[in-house]
Formats: sequence, C-alpha cells, structure tokens
Amino acid sequence: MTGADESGAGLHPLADINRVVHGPARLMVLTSLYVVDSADFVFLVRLTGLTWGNLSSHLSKLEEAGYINIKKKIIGKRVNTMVSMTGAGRAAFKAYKHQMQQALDDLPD
Amino acid sequence: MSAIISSKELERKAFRTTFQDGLWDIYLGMLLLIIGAGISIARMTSLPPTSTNILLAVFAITVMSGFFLGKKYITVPRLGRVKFGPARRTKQKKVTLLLSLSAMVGLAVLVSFGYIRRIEGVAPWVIPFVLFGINSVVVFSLGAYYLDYTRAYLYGWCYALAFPVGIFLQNHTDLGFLLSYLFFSAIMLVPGVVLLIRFLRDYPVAVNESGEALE
Repeated sequence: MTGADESGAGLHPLADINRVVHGPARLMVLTSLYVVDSADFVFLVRLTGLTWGNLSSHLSKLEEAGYINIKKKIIGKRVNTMVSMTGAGRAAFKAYKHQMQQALDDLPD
Repeated sequence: MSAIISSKELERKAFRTTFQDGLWDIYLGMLLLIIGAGISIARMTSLPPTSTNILLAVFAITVMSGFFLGKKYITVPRLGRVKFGPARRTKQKKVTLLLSLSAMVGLAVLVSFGYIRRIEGVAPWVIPFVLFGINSVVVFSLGAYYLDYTRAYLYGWCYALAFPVGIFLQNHTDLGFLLSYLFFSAIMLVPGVVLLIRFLRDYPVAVNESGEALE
C-alpha cells in the first residue's frame, strides 16, 4: 500500500462499492424486486429463503436508504406488506451491477 | 456473478412458482372431464338436453369457483402476492386476448354446427371437432409459450384427441367416450394432484416469528 492509498478513497475498483446493495441478503432482495413490479413479504421470504426477522431488518435498511417503498394495506383481516423498488433503488442497483461487472471482467482468467 | 444478475431467469423462476400449486392442471383436467361427462350423459341417459346443459354449467361453475378459491386460500397464503413487470403483463394480456378469440371460435363452431354437419360424405362430427382440435392445440400452445407453462403443449393435444379417440373406442364399447375423456383428463389431473400435494408439503402457510400467519 502506498501513502496515497491510505489517505483517501481506495484505488481498487470495488473500494467505493455501495455497501447497502452489496450485502448478500439485501442483494437478493433487490435482485428479486428488480425483476418484478412489486411483491409482498411472503413472496420475498419464499424467493430469497431469508427468515421473517432477517428479511424485515434488511427491508428496513433498504427503505432507510430510499431504495424500496413499503406499503401496508389490510386484506381481509390481515396486514399485507407490498414492497417495490424506487427509482433511486433501481439506479443504485444498476450502478452496482455495472461496477461489479467491470471489476470482475477486468480480472485475468 | 452471472448467477446473481441473470434477471431474466430469476423473473421466469418467480413467475413459474405460480404454476407449482397444480391448480391449473386440475382445473383444465376437470373442464375436459365435464365435456366428456356432457357427451356421455347425452348418449347414455334420456335426460333432456336443457337439463344436461344446466347440469354441466353447474359443474363448470363449481370447478371454476374451486380454482379461484384454491388460488385465494391455498396458493396466496403460501406463496404470497406478486405483480410482474410490463413485459410479463403484456404476455398475460396476449393470453387473455387469445382465450377470448378461442371462445369466439368455439362459439362460431357451435353456431355453424347445424350447417357444416350437412356436408355429404363427411361424418357429422368431423368438421366441428377438427376445428375444435385445431383451436385447442393452437390456443394451448400459444398459452404455453407466453406463460412459460410447458405442460400446456401436451394438454392442447389432450383436448384435441379426446373426442376422436372416444369415437374410436365407442366402436368397441358403449363406455368409449367416458373412457377416452377419463384417460385424457387423468393426464392433467394426476400431475395436478401430485403437484398440489407436493406444494402443500413444501410450502406451509408462511408465519412470522410470533407464529402468526403472514397472509
């Protein structure tokens, strides 16, 4: 490591990767939401294989970052939680995808 | 990396989960069975046509209601709700349009039945059922293609072949139609029931950490 590397942002292409998107569980949630308009909590539990609590906490983080939109409505006597990706979430995911592809494609075989 | 960002495959996987419950297979199998029951009742009993039609309509409405109730009370609590993107919605609209066209073709065949059956040298049932067969194969194949529901390719042929095979068997036994329709319905009903049992086993009702149902 050089002094320049230690002082500021790293030179590595993944040094400034978006860590909100990069977490495996959140990445699973975002890839799932990227391909559909919206999905409810149960569908996301099934598709990602995450537990209820785990998914809930990751959804909160993604909502705080402004990447997803959570809407609750009453269907029958139960609360239904529909989740969709926001424009900011879609842009962040695309940027993340591009960055990862670039970083990995540049590696020698 | 490619496994993570293969969004097309993930979308297809998500969509295909909606066919894992076997309800479509059971529904289509039951509808074919109703058609067979209609033909068998008409041939084997002295029930007036109006009563037969009312009976069949009641069966059809019961099966249709069973399908929608099954989706609501079996599938959704276990699999959840999902709204697919514009590309998938366009495909679904095409299938709806296709089914409407198919129903109109079916209606046209029924209405014209009285005229085309009079062609000399052709058995009265041939033309309507050739049209019905072609309609079935085309509609089911296009449905299979647009909905990624590959079993529907086979089901189209089941609908197309049940009547001619029934005619063939009828030459050997009075139960020919019944046996033919039972056989072709079973091709749909058996996988449907197996899928439903597997679905109920693999997807229990989703509950949260307090043990409350999520849906």
